[in-house]
Amino acid sequence: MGELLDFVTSASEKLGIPPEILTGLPVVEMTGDSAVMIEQHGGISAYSEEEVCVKVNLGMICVTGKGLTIRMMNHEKIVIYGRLESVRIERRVP
Amino acid sequence: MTKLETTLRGSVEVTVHSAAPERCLNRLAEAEVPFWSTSSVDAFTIRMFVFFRDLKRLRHEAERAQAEVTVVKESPGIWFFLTWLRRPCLLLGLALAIFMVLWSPNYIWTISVSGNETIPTSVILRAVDTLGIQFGVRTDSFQSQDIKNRLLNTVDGLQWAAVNCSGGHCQILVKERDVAPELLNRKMAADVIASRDGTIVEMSVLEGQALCQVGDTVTEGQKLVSGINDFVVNLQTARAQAEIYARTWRDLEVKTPAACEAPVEEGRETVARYLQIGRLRIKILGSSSISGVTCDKIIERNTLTLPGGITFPVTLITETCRESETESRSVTKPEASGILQTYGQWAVENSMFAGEILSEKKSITPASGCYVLQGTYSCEEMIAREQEVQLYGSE
Repeated sequence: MGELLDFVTSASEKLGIPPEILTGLPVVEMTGDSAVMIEQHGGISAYSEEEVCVKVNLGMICVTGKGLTIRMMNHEKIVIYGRLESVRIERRVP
Repeated sequence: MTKLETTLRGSVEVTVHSAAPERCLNRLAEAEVPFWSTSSVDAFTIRMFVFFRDLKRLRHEAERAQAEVTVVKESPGIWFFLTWLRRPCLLLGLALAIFMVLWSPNYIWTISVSGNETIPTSVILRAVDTLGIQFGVRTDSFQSQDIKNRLLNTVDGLQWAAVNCSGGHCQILVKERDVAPELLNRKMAADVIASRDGTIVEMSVLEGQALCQVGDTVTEGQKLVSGINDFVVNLQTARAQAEIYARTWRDLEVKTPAACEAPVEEGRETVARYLQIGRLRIKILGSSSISGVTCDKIIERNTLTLPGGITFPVTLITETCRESETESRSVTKPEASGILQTYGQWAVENSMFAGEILSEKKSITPASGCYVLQGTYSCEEMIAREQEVQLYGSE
């Protein structure tokens, strides 16, 4: 699985296609320490005011901070507001 | 979500309680139910906002995610107006208010007449009705100046008229023609004579030569004030005027039958109700006709009137027809006494030019088939009457 992902990623780079289109990798955009937007997610796995964990195809992206709120969420993207402290990627164990 | 969008579309603040509230959020995202401003209340409860119209879908998805939804606050936005569909009376009232404000001032709904004193209002209303000012006509369908001119030609006795239409109300202002006062013909010579026998109690001579004084007893036709003043060397004629009050006595005999026809029992009763809007008469219910029997017909009219006194041409008419059987019954003496005394007093007072009844002596006796009141009324009344003097008679 990991090798296939690496192959697709390198192929897309060579073809000049954004890798998230072919691989379904998540796109994470941060706005300072107050907001983070995650595209191509697979839903929320944990939610509290201190930590929001979002499922992605890599595994999981956990956003920690204080007073975290989900400002907007649909099947494409999720926007998390709050005082962000860290964004952590937890890779899926093969 | 912009504030404008949420305000217009309406939003609902809800709390979702579940063992895993994240599952509910994921389901909502999959079902494309927009939600925003999600915050965690505790480990099992989250608070969020959804659009007002998505509340039903939220409940459905939450039920599938085994979550419990509680509505905290509703802001319906424009959907608030849809709740009015469940209130037809409110909508009807709103439509009526809009109609009254925007449309109705162009039509005449009420007509009033002011300024008339001797000419009846009904005569003026009938006249303007024939000239085209009627209930429900457009105010721009006639010219006020034209109506005014034609009204002056139609109704006799009007000196001036104006027609003002404003806010659905047509006011007709009129001024009646002043009648010239009757001039006193001072060239005519006249005496003042007594119209009845009596003893003079008060006397006021305005013109002429008095021939009597207070305390004198005079007879009917006696000259009281002369219109010919004798100044020895010549005679001067005048139109004698005087107010002379005298104590008089009037004898009166009044009869009333000892039996009368009176209703004995009320039979069947029919009621009919009509709604009259302007000239249109709509029958609401019932029938007020009873054929072939004697009956009393009572008509009650209730006109729609605002607290300020403005009357609308909407009238609820209730016609009640009640069968009545009559039978002959005898009149008791107290009843006859009341009738005769009332009529006797009325007859004496009306036969006097001016004055009052001071005392009365009367007796009521039954006669053949009737009661007879014989009374003597002591009155103080004006007895002065004018009589023209024939200066160039046969003498």
